[in-house]
Amino acid sequence: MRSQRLLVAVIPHAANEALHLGSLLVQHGYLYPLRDPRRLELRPDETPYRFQVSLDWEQTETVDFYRREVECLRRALGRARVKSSTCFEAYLKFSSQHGPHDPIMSGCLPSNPWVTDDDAYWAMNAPSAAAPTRLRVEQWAFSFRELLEDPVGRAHFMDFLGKEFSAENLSFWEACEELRHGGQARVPALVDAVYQQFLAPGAARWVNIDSRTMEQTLAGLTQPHRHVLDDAQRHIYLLMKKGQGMHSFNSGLVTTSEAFARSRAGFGSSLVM
Amino acid sequence: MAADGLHENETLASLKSEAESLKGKLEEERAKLHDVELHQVAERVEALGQFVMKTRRTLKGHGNKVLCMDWCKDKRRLVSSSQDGKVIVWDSFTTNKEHAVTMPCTWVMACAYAPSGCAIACGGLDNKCSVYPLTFDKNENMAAKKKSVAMHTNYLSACSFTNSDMQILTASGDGTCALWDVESGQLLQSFHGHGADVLCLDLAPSETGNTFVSGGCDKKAMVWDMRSGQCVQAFETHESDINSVRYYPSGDAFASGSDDATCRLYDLRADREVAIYSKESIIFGASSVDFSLSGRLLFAGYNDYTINVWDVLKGSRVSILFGHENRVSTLRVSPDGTAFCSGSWDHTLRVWA
Repeated sequence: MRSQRLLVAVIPHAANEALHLGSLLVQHGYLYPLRDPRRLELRPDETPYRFQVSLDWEQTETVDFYRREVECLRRALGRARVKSSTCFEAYLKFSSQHGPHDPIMSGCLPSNPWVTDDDAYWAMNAPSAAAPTRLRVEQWAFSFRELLEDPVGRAHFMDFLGKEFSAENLSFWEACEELRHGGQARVPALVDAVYQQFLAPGAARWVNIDSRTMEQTLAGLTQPHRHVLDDAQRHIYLLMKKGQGMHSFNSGLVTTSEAFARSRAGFGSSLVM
Repeated sequence: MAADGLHENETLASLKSEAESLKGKLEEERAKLHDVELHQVAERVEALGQFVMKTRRTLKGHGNKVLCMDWCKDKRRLVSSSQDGKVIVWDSFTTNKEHAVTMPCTWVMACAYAPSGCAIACGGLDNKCSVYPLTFDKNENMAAKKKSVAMHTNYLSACSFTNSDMQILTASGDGTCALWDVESGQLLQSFHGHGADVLCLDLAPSETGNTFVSGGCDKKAMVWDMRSGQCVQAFETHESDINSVRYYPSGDAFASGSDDATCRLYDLRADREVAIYSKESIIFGASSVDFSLSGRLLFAGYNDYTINVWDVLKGSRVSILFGHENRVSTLRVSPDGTAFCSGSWDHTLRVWA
């Protein structure tokens, strides 16, 4: 490296510090010695160097990076795709179904709190409201996910399952949710509790999972982790979602909604909605 | 070293060309099932009427650029973070400030409200994501109970609690995303694949699986399996950094906002970009996007200080909202869809309805 005179103040030991820093740059590949490339050090002589992006760093990073990209692309090619027209029909259906439930699109009754400064809308639609509105109950029939997402909808469904003697399915599903999204420290205890209550032979609230899934789940319990019940949970979820009970439950929602409306009217409200 | 170098270069070159060829094949496969454009199908849908949305609340109190905000599940509280290191919790209905904490770093780029409403998470140039329990004891110092959860090797750009207070998902300038156990700070899963800074993420409203989408400076939007850490789908059609990603309410698609001045819609089942929301007159980057409750409207905040409201199905702009006096940096629709909040470099937040 040819020395250059720079018009700056002289700092004691600066040359040593510079050499040290320079050596680090060479060792990490930012400066590449053109002669004798095996000696990774900065020498105060006429040795030429080339400045480059760190060779070692880029090599590892890039090889791994492209390997991952290739794997991801291979997986993507193996996916089943759906026709665009089918996907767009789904948007139209979702949009028309949910439009009346979208306060910005359709307004909300009695009023939008932000516009009128009256928070009655929030009081009426509190998470655990005793008498949910017609619009809210209507949404429980849109999809199983939306039913379970509403605490009142879920409680109502639990009651319904209780009458059908299959409430353990929903309780099991809830326990699995707790496992998946809960703290790591509780995983072993939670897995054991779920096993005792729902999966063990003769368990008090035994859930009806197909034998293959049950076998795989029980085998996995020896090494409990937060995803160990995923397959069983998915099975029970689909059982509830597509079960005979759903049709009966959804049909009953109209009556349910009317009952809630009557109870709201009974408390002196002049708005029946 | 010379012999090793050659070997490395061969593997690298062949991987690179394999990736290019696979990308080409993927584009061909994606094109095969694209039988119609969204705006064509949307011709059957009634056009939206006149749109009146105004600023209903202005939250003043930050001393510098507002960088991020998130709503509380109670539909009225929200948390916001700023370049000056301050994180504020507001009851935005009354505009009262309920909590405030000063972070040890400036540029708090990410903040999130816990599902229980009892804690907030935030971070930025400190490369960490920290959780603060919210206490109503006036004598207690919020900063005292701070818990450091996530540790990245570069700035924190986004964070979100998953379905509970116990897990946090983070995105970072170090090019990775990560899932953390809040109590122990343990890294549960990391997500590698972006080729540059990750700027945003959003969790899918999924039924049985657990996925999320991230966007980055590599112009890619990537969908991840939270269990395996693998990328399941990737989309590379933007021409610049992706600043914001948000799922369509059904979970079947997501929207993105980018420095290339466009917002785009990607369908996960069709596995392709299905709409572009842009106008020749819009030349500044979109910093943040969110859907109205039914997914019919897409609100997008831009670096030209405006908010554009897009008809998601027809692809047209429905409205343009003025009010902020500097870049809009963050935007979220409230949990019950009655309003949306925007944060800006003009130091304020606005709630619109």
